[in-house]
Amino acid sequence: MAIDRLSGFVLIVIGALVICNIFVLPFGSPHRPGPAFFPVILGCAAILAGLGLVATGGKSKKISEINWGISKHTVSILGGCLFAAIFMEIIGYRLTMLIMLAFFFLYLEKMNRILALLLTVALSLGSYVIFVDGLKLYLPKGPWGF
Amino acid sequence: MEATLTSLLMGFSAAAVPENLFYAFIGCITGTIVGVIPGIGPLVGISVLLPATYGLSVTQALVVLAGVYYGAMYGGAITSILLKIPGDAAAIVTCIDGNAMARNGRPGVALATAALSSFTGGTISIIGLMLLAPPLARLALKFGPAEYFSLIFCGLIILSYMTGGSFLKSFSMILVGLILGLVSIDHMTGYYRMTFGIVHFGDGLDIVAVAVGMFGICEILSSAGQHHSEKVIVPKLRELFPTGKDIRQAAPAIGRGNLIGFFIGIIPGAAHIISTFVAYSVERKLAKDPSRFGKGAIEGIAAPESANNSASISSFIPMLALGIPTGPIPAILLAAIMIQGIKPGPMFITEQALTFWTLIASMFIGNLILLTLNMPLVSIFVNLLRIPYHILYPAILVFCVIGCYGPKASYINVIVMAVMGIFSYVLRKLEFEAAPVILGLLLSPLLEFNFRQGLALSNGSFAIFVERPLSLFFLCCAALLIIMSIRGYYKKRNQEQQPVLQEESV
Amino acid sequence: MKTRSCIHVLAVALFTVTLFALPGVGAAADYPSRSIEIVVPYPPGGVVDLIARPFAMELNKVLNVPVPVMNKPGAAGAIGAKAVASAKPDGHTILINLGSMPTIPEVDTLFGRPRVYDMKDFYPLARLTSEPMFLIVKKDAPWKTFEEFVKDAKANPKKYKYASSGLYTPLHLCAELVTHTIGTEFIHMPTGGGAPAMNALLGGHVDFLIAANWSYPHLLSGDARALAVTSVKRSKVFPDIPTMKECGLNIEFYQWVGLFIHSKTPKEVLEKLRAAITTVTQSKAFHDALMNIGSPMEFLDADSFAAFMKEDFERNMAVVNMIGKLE
Repeated sequence: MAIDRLSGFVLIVIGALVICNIFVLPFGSPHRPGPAFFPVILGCAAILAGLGLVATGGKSKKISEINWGISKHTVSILGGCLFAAIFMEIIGYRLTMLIMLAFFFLYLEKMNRILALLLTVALSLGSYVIFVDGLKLYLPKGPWGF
Repeated sequence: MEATLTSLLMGFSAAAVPENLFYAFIGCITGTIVGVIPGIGPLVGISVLLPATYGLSVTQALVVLAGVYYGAMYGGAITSILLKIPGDAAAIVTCIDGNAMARNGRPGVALATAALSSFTGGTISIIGLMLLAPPLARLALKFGPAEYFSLIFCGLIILSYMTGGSFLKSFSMILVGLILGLVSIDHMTGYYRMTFGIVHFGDGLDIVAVAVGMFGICEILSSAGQHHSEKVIVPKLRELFPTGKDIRQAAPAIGRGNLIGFFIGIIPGAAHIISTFVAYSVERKLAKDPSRFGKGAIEGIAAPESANNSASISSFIPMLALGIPTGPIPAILLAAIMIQGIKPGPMFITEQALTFWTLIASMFIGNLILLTLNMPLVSIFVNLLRIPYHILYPAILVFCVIGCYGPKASYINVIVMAVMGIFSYVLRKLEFEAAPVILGLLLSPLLEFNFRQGLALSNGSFAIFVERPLSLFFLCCAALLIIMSIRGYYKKRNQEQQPVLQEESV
Repeated sequence: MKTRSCIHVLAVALFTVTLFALPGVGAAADYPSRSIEIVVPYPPGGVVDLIARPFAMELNKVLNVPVPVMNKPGAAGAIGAKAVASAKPDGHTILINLGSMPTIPEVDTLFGRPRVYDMKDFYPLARLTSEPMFLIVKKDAPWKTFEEFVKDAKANPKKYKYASSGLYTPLHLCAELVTHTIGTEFIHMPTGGGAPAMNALLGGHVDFLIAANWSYPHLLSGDARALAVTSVKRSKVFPDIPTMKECGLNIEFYQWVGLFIHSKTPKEVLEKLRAAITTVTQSKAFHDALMNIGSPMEFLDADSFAAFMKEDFERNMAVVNMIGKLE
């Protein structure tokens, strides 16, 4: 299937989902539009745009021609973000980053051991110093105060 | 005119003492550093330095804060150009052509263009502010909810032209952004809307998390692992600065961006971000050869950079002329003035003439210092590109995570960043552009709020949007643009069918 | 060669970093240990914002940590309030809000929707100001006195429009009180906050506005005129403005600005904070800043504030019940 057609169908689904989801809220009247008023309009617009894409998208690339490019790097980066998000508040920022960066430098990129360790420590601790002590931002500490 | 010049000189004499220059310098450096880090914008820089300014005089405090503000505007451009990761939302558009130019082996030119455009845009805007502040502020007041709605709607249609792809595809992305912007507690009534039980979403999806995710994370997702034995871009010394031809090409773009930024900046809201998108779209539409955009067109850097510095300055106009700040940064400046015992408000410019003109002078000075600071540093910054990518991208990841977590201390933001990164990656594969989504996200609350307010004001009548002249004007422009794009589509289709017909008739 | 110089740079960086990091490990968890954020649940420029900023500056001087002010507008202050109620209860997030704060959850219940926040999530720290409201019109409005305005409004229901800072905010409640007492109807345009409402008036999009002292720069400059005030006694700042009671309308309404914090904040932190706030309210700079916006200081410490809030809440709920459910 052409990718534009697919995108069009997805857009129609998004529009429909928005409308269904939002109907629990009051629609209101023109003189006092409720929280559902504008979303319904947007949902309808999305459905129309989706129909437009389906109608005109015949000549675009086919799905099978897409090179998704999913490598262990893409998975690692996403995994890293999720790991950081979940564990930062549990074991503290510095420890989380040490683990995450060690994974990237030592395991994934297979760098020279010493350099990898130096970078890991420098980035984790250094960024903490810059942001917390320098810029007075908040980065969580773990249960051991580290 | 004479009175203006004498007042300006008075302001300069108060502002341009060596002490103040030093403070301006500190402000600019802090601002640049803060701007470079993805996700951390001028507000953080100002918050850091603000306590240090309490002991200073009004002039010195203003000089520092102005320096931080412009520094952050420029700092964001640095990472945009070198790494295609926006330092803040105002630098998103600069990523497109800025990074393309860097990859073509001219990162120095890109950086220098950004610096020069920021300076020029800012300076001309300050002159505009000086001369036109009170009448412009009154003009801004004339914009009621109906006018804002129509203006934003027209703006969205213009912006659908901003990408090279089809109008429909850009518009669809804007719609997706608008829908994402619905996620929040409804501003008028207090209902939770599409938040799926996540309390953090009550405030809406954080623009920083979305921008960093869609541009930063997506970029490293696409590039990591592909660069192993790579040709690191090594810039040559003589290619560090723009040539005469470059400057001639960029100059009109700077001028147009300046004008666009100046007027959009007066509108309350995320004006300096929106102005970059509009400036870029306008350049692309007006260019003789639009295919250059996206591949390193110098106008694609000059216009947005000029626009965002211009808008940052004109955003002070309502604050200075009326005492009504349009955003958090003018509000901070307002408070800084207030705490020194000076009354803000409509009488400020006339009663506090010295402070006003000193502020103006310090804006000029801040801009100049930024330029002199950054031009020589261009050659240092470009060396950032020499760092091998396999070392760089985990570092970028760390800074992205901090930038998204830090300001609101929200791990949900980091997850949003990751999800938007995946989303943007898929969009890229499906040949959609990410920038319009951010625009939709930014404009959604404004569009909706003004729509509902307009209806409240007219007591339910939709006619208000066509009755008020300004509003009608913008809606007509939007309608015209839509018709033009439909015509354009049919023309293209006919052209494609013509050769087929000719072949058949042979 | 590249790698070696990288190592060189990094070794130096690591060394420097370690120098800083070591004392940092195991640092005492004393209050305040990082910046204290003040959340203003309205757009910049309104009364809450204008009071918050000088307060933040003075608090910074007393407590020696940065005190940034964050605007989180929307839903008549509910969005900002919710943000503070969801923050970590360690004393580093303070809410500054208006007198409408206790009434908004009741309004949620009135509408049968889940409350965005509840008053029991909060501990009232201090009241900073308390002031009456003025009925304000543009300088070229046709009415010279309050009586003229009342007569015109009664004769032309649904003709005149006013702006407010949101549904059920003090500006709205007071305006509704006026509407009902006069016995007419107005068209109401809710905006996000006091500053946009003032913009709407100055731009001529609405005919009048009920706002407090902080609008006084505009009154001073002559862009706007006040027709009446809602207190029992005439305002010291504008003694020529008659009270509504003098003009025959039995209306008494006050707007206050107060500080709140998460109810689960530890006691020691609360005590330190209360002491700091008391010091701030005694500072001349803060007094002057408040006078600059026409909102003289009316400080009440936590316990007196709680008692005052209760009484004010009864007054406001009477108005809310009178208005009923307004979409």
